[in-house]
Amino acid sequence: MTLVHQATGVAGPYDAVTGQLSAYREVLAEMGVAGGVHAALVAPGAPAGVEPLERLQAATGDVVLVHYSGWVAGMQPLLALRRRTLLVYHNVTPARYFWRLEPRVAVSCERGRERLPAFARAAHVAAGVSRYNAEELRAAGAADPRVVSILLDPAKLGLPADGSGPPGEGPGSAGSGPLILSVGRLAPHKRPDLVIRAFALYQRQREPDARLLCVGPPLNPSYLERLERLVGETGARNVTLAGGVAQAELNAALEHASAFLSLSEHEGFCIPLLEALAAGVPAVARRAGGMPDVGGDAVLWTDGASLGEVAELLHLAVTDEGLRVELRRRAREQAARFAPDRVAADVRALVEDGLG
Amino acid sequence: MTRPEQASERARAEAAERDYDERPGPVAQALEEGVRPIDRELLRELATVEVDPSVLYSTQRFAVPVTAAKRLVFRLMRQYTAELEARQTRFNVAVLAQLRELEERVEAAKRERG
Repeated sequence: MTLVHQATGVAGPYDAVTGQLSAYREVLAEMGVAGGVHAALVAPGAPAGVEPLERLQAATGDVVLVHYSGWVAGMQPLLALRRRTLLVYHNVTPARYFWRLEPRVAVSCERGRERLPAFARAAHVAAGVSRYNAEELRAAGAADPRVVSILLDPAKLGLPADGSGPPGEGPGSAGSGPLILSVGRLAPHKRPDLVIRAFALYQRQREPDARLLCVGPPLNPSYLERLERLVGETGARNVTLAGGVAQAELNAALEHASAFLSLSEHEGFCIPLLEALAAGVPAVARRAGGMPDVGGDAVLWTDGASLGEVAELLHLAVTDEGLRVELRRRAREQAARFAPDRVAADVRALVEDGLG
Repeated sequence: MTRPEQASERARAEAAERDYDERPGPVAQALEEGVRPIDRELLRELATVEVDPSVLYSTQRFAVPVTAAKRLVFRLMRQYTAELEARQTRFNVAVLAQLRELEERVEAAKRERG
């Protein structure tokens, strides 16, 4: 029996790629295909069932599906495999965002980009999770890369549907002013600093009671401390840097959110944006990387050059009821393009082509 | 009602009218500099290796005592790590000096060729 093993660099909690390992495992199980799930580095809190990469034993005829989002020590065996490989590219953040703050991450990113061509050329079938990623794969030498989006099932996550039902309890449930929600790791390329500054302007000029909730673990304590100092410098009030939270708490935050904001400069896909769309939360976002693929025409786009403009977009997204209704309608349509059955069909086709 | 396609233009106009003060303070500026591409100045900064003890921490169980233990080991090993830092910095600075010299030679060669 042919097995399809999944492998990646790092598996941990609150990690998009790790989430995909689990989602793919379900699709593979529905196909009747077994196989292990492996990571070069299994971080504390990683889901059960993820095993260290050194335990990967792929027999002749087995297929290895590599989720690639960077290079970490211990991934070498993946390049030496003499097995059919499938590559799903989640993108690698440019190293320049980390050189000053977290050199180890910078080195990992730099190596990740250096080694992408080796993975791209070795793959029998390659896919990017967005058109943006597929183009990077093509540039790296992959033959005819396809797009297989992120597998996200709003029903399984229990995401709120357009504010119906009583809002749950979570980090955004206290307070009465409009809640601006920003979700993503607190890391330089996500530009949480710009989110804080734009929010401060919005609060000062438009909504003194507005609240900002940033959900996502910080890159490191030093970066978190800088962001906290930035909050003080801007004079913004009601700002919560909540760190990583459980899905139920994130769902509660989405229920309470008046608008979603992302000013990230680099995204391979942006799951939080899709979650916001699925929950019917009006979104303001920077047109960067794979985000336009995800958001389509259901997002208030900005180039991020003017924080005053971002503040005004937030004001519109919060107060213009007609606009909110239209954005919710478009968000439903856009989220439907990423319906799990559609994406699962793409995953099945990817695996079937990989199996030959 | 504003159409989504009109929102950006309207927001820009409103922002111009309200005259937002977008000037970054010192903390914001430092964060901005943290994401700029590598240039010679950044290379010079990176060449000097100086490990900040705050990078030693733990987020696992017993994080507080584990963090304290890591930092204690770092202090105890300081003599050794300081020597490593100095040697690595010496090498980095020497490479940068060579690079600068190479750049000057390239520039000179370009000038000679007219």
